[in-house]
Order: sequence, then structure tokens, then C-alpha cells
Amino acid sequence: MDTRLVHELDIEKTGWQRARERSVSSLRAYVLNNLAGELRDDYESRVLPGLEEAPADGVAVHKAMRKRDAFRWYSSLRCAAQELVWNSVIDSINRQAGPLEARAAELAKDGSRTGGTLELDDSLEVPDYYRAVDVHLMPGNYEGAAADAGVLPGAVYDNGFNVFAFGAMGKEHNDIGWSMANFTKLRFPDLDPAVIVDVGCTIGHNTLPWKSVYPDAEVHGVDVAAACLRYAHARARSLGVAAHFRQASSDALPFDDASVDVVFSSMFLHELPAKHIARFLGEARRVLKPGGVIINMELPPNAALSPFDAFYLDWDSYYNNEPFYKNFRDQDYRGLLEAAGFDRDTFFEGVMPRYTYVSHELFEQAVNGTAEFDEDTGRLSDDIQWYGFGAQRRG
Amino acid sequence: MTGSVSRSVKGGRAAFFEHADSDRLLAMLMQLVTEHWALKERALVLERILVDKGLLTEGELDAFRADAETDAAWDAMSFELMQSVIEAARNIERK
Repeated sequence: MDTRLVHELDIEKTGWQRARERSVSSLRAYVLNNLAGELRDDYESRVLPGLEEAPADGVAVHKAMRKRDAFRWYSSLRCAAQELVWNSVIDSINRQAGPLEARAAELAKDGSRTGGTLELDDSLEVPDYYRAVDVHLMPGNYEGAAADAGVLPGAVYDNGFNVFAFGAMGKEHNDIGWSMANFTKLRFPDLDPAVIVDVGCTIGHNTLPWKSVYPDAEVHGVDVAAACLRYAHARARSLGVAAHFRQASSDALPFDDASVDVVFSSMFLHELPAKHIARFLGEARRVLKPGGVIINMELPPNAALSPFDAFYLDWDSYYNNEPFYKNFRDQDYRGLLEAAGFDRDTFFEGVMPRYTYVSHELFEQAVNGTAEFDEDTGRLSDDIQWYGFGAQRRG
Repeated sequence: MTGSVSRSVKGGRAAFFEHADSDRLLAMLMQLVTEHWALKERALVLERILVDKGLLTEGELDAFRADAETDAAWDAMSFELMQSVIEAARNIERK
């Protein structure tokens, strides 16, 4: 497995370090493919036949499974693997913190590369929920423990992601961006966006593909985490993509009314408490032009899944520091958009293969089909399929 | 008759966790870390000797990149090791 990053913020890794990353990736692949398969098999072959009544939802499956050995092994090793993901990269990053910060600063200064910009807002009040836990067990969360964390939390995320995804999320872990941008282009062929905004963009990995799919558009990334945005800016400069990063909350998007053509988010809504989801969707509607589109890449709603698949995805909410994940997935996504003012009949959703792993033709077939949910929808494995949903602003 | 030193301790030693198995696994883990370091130091010694003899240059091992085929083969070997370690526990049943 090659975990080099394809931009200048890549850090030098020793042979020991690379070997460690390979081992952690192997552990994750084993847990998420093999042990996950055994978990399902234990439920279907042994647990379910012994129950008087079939579980109605994921919560009931969780209750039936939590004392099972298959569950304990899967869960304990998955937690161990998650900790190892971050631990396996933090030492290397700390060892090269100085040169890494210097390189990021140079890239940020070098405006000759692209027209991309960075705007930070020291006065931004970060919502309380954001500081409550380190999401995904990632030490320091997206911002780092210290206020002057520079770009290091971004580096932890970028390098850790590489190990985390075991190659399943694209070369620059940007397949979600490629897939959603192409989905939008295929579903809305008449849309000619001038302004695209990625909300909750972190290091901009899924922001940049939008610029490739829509080269004439102005592409923005918004996040509350300054450390990730600094990293995103330097990363985009290094990759030669003009994107604009701005520190702001999804509660108050820094754009005028009816000034944006596409609002995009990925793996973002499930990190928010319900009232902040509602605020964000309301903000999205406000900034969208009539005819503009909001598209969210997300995990599929529990209602669309079998009780076992719902339980499987809810695991993260209970055990991977994702406190709002289940609550979000229990919602009716169409209803959330409708409550934010989008017309009900403009709702759309799709399940698709990974754009950068399949032919354009195959991807197009999936986009034009109806959303079919199966066990690979949203489940990180070698056969993962992405889910996206959204709506169009009418008037 | 040649004697040998037993590892057993009269009076045993205390366990601190809810289940003594946790203390036992921890003790095994520490033994494994010790063995792991022994292997690591051995690799460092080999590298040092090879550099001193001019067969390897300083940093050459860290700069080494396997070709794609080797890299994929090592991915598979690493996966197999993980699998064999985890699956070593497969046959254990409470009887």
C-alpha cells in the first residue's frame, strides 16, 4: 500500500513508519471485510433464528448482538484499529512539524500558483457540540488541542485518512467529491454553476474535484476548523487548484442571499445536532439561487436499510465518537429539506459506485437509475457505494 | 543433574482488573513488546553493520520503495499475518 500524499505537504516516512501503516491498514481491512461478514453471519444464522420476534430496527439488533462474541471481537478490534490509525501517523508528523509548517507557510504565501484564497475569522464562535468530543477518536479533533496548532491537525487527518481508507476512497481520498460532482452534472445537465460551496470541507479533499468537473465555477470550502483550512489552502495551492477557503459556521454561511449555484456537503450532516442541521439547510436554501442545488453525500437513512444494516452503521454513533450520527440517520431526509423550505417534489437521491474506480458509462447508468440500497451502501469496504441526496431551490 | 530455573512464583502475584484474564493478557503483551524490541534492535544492528561495511548507505533502507508488484505482495502478507493472529483464537470455546 502506497500512503504517500500526492502534494507537497507529504511528510517523509521512515521504513518503520510505512511498515506500521501497512499493518494497520491490514487490520482495518480484516475487521471491516472479514469480521464484519462474520458479524452478519452470526446474526443471520444463529441469533435471528433464536428470537421470538424479528428485531424491528437497528436498536433491537444492537440489543440482541451486544453480548455476542462476534460483536465483541468486531467492536474491540475496530476500536483498536481506529486508535492505531491515528497513532501510526502522529509520531512522524510531530517529528517533522517544523518543516511541515514552513512548507505550508511558503505555499500560502506563493500566490503565483493559483488564485485560491484563505480567510480566517478569529472572532468565530465555534459551537459547543464541536468541542465536546474528538470525533472518530482522532486526537485533538479537527482543530488540535492548542489554538496555534498551525496545520498539524490537517496533516493528522490527511495522513490518517490514507491509512483509514485502505485505498477505498480514492488516490487523494477524494472519490466522494468526484462522484458527487459528476452525479450533479449528470442529474442536472442544464446547471451551469458559477459558485459552488463545500460546507464542512475540512482539508478540501472533496472540494477540489468540483473545480475539475466545473472548471469555470468559483469553488469555495467552508469549515469552522482553522487548522484544517490552513492545510486545505496549502494543499490546494500545491495541487494547482484555485479554491477559496473560509472559516465560518454552517449556522451562518458567509454568502449573500441567492448567490450560490451548488451547496455541497459530504459526511457532514451526521456530525451535527438536529437544530444545527436545520439551521444549515435553511442557510443553504437562503444562499442558493433559484434553480440552484443542494447535494449532501451521506450515510443512508435507517428507514431505507434492513434492521441489521441500520445496526451496522449505527455502531459508529455508539463507539466511534459520532454522537449525532444515529439521530441524523433516523430522520426522513426529504422531510428535513422540506422543513428548510425546499419543495418536496424537488427531492432527489442516488446510490452510485465510486466514480474514480469505474467507467463513466457504468457510473452514468447508476445515476440515472433509482436509488437501490444494499449492504454495501455507505459501508466502508472494497465494494462501497456512495449515497447522496438533495433538492433544488425553486423560487 | 542439571537444574533449571522455574518461572513460577510461590504465592503468585496479584491481579488488579475485574477479570484476572486482563492482567494475564497485559503480561503477555509486555512480553511481546520486549521480544518486539529485541527484533527491532537486531534489525538496527544489521543495518549498522551493513553501512559500516559499505554494503548499504545511510538512509537507504528508509528511502527504499518496493515496486508495485512487491508492494501488493507485502500487502497480502501483512493481511495474512493479521488474519492468522486474530484467527489463532478461533477454536477457543468455554466448555
